[in-house]
Amino acid sequence: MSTGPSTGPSTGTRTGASTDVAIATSGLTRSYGATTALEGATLALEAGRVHGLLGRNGAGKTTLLRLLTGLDRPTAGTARLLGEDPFENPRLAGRFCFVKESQVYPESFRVHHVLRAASLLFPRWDDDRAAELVDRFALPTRRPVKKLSRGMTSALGVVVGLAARAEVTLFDEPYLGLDAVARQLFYDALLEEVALEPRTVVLSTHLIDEVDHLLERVVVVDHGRVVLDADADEVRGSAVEVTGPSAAVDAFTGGRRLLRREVLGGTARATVATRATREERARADRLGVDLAPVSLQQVVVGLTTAAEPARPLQEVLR
Amino acid sequence: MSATLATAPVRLPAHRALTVARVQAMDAVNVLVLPWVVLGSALVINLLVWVLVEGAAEGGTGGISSLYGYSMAMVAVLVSRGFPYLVGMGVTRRSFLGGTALMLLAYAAVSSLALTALHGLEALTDGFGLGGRFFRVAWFTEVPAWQLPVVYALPMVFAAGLTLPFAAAYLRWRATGIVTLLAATALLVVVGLWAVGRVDGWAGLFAWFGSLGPLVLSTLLALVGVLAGAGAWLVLRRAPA
Repeated sequence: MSTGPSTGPSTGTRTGASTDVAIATSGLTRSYGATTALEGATLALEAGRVHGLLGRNGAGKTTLLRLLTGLDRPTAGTARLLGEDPFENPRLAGRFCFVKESQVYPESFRVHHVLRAASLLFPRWDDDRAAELVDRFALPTRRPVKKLSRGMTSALGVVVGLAARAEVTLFDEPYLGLDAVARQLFYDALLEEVALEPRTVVLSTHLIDEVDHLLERVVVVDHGRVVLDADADEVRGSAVEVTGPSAAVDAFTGGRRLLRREVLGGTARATVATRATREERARADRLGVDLAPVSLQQVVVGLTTAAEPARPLQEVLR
Repeated sequence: MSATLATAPVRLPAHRALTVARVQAMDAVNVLVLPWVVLGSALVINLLVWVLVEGAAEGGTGGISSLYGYSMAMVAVLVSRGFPYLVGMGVTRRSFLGGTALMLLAYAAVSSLALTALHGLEALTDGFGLGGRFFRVAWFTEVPAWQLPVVYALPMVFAAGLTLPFAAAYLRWRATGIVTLLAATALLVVVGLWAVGRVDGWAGLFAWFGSLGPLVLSTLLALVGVLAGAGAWLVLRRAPA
C-alpha cells in the first residue's frame, strides 16, 4: 500500500486511463438547497481492490456513489472514474456497473429480460456466471421483476453486478431483504469473482462486521464528510479496547482520542485510538487495565459517534 | 499494487443507441401488446355500436386516436422507467434519448404499416361488413395509397415527441417540472386561441390547413414533434438519474 490515507490533492486529481487509481475525488461536494449531502470529499481508491464505503444511513454514501457514476453532477469539486469525468461520458459506457439499492427496471421486465439487457450493456458480461448465480440465489427467471420479493430484487442486482465483470463495480447496500444465507452467498461469490477476475469493487454497507474479511480499504463517511480513508488492516489495528477501574482507564486514555466510553459501577470500558504496541501494553500492565483488539465495526462506530469532530487517521493516531 | 484488468472495448455511441433501442423494445408488453389491446378494444366497441345503433356506422369515429393517445402514455413510461435504469447501467443521456427515439421511430413505422394493412382490410370488407369507418379517417387518410403509411406514422411522431419534454421535465424537476410545463403550454394555447379569435382568423386557419393536404399537415405535425423532442434533450442532458 503506497498511497496511505489521502487528504492531499496530489492523489485526488490524478487522471489518465492507465492509472492505478480507479476512483479519485477532489473536494467533491453536493448540496440540495440548504442541505449538503456531501462536503469536500477527497479520496483515491486503487484499482483491483475491494473497498468498503462505510457510514450510517444518510451519511452521504449514496450521494458519493451517484456522483462517481455520473448519475448526478457535483455542486463543487471533481470526480474521476478510471481517469475520466463520469458525467455523460461515452468512454465509460459498459466499464462500470452500479448496483443501486432501489433499482428501477422497465415496467414489464422479467428476470431474464434484466439478464439479457445486461448482456447487451456490459461487454465483459459472463452468461455462464450469471446462470450459475441465478441458480445459487434460486431466482425465478420467468417472473416479472415487480413481483419479486425485496430479497430477490437485491439478489438480481447482485447477479448483474457480478456477472457484468465491469472494471469498476459499485454496490450500494446490495443486501436489503437478503437473509443471512443469501448474504453469505453474495460475499462468497464476490470473493470468488475478484480472485478470478480482479476488479475494483466499492461496497457501500453498514453491515461492517459481515464484510470485514472482504475489505482491503475502508472509506468512512459521516455527515457528508469523509472521516477516514485508510487500509482496512491499518484501521483494525488503530484502536484498542481498554477495560479496568475507571480511574485507571481514564489514566490510560488521557491525551488520546476516545472513540467510546462506558462506565458500569467502578469499571470502565473505553475504545481509544492507539496501537497495541509493546510500550502501550506495558503501560496498561502498570495501570492495571486490560487491552483487547477491536473490530473494524467498532472503530467505525467510534469514529461516527464520537462527539468531537473527526480527523484523518494519521491525525487520530498522532 | 498492480492490477491487471482487461480493458473493455469502447463502443461507438451509435452502437450504444442501438443497444438502448433493443433494451427499450424488450419492454414488450408496453411496446407490442398494450397499444394493440387498446386499439383492439376501441375497434370492438365501435363494431358493437355499429351493430346495435342504427345509422351509427355512417358517421366517422375517432377510435384510431386511442393508439396515438396510448403512444403518449407509452413514451411517458419508457422514459420515466427507462432513464434511471439505463443511465444507471452506464448509458449516457445522449445514447438513452437517441436509442429511445430510434425505438419510437421503428414503433411508428411498424404501427403505420399495420394500420395501412387494416385500412386495406376495412376498405375491402366495406367497414367489416357494417359500412363503418374506423381506420379510414375522413379527409386525413383520403390520400394516395403510398402516402397512407406516412400519414399514419407522422402523427405518431408528433404524439411521442410532444410527450418527451413532459417526461424529461419530470425526470429533471419532478412534479414541479410537469406542472410548470403544463401551465406554460396551457398559457401558450390560450394566447394562441385568443390571438386567432382576435384577428377573426379561424376560417382562414382551417382553410389553410385544408389547403395543405394531409401529407404536408402531418409532416408539419411531425416537425413539431421533432422540435419537442429536441427540447426534451435540452432538459434531459443534465437530469439526474
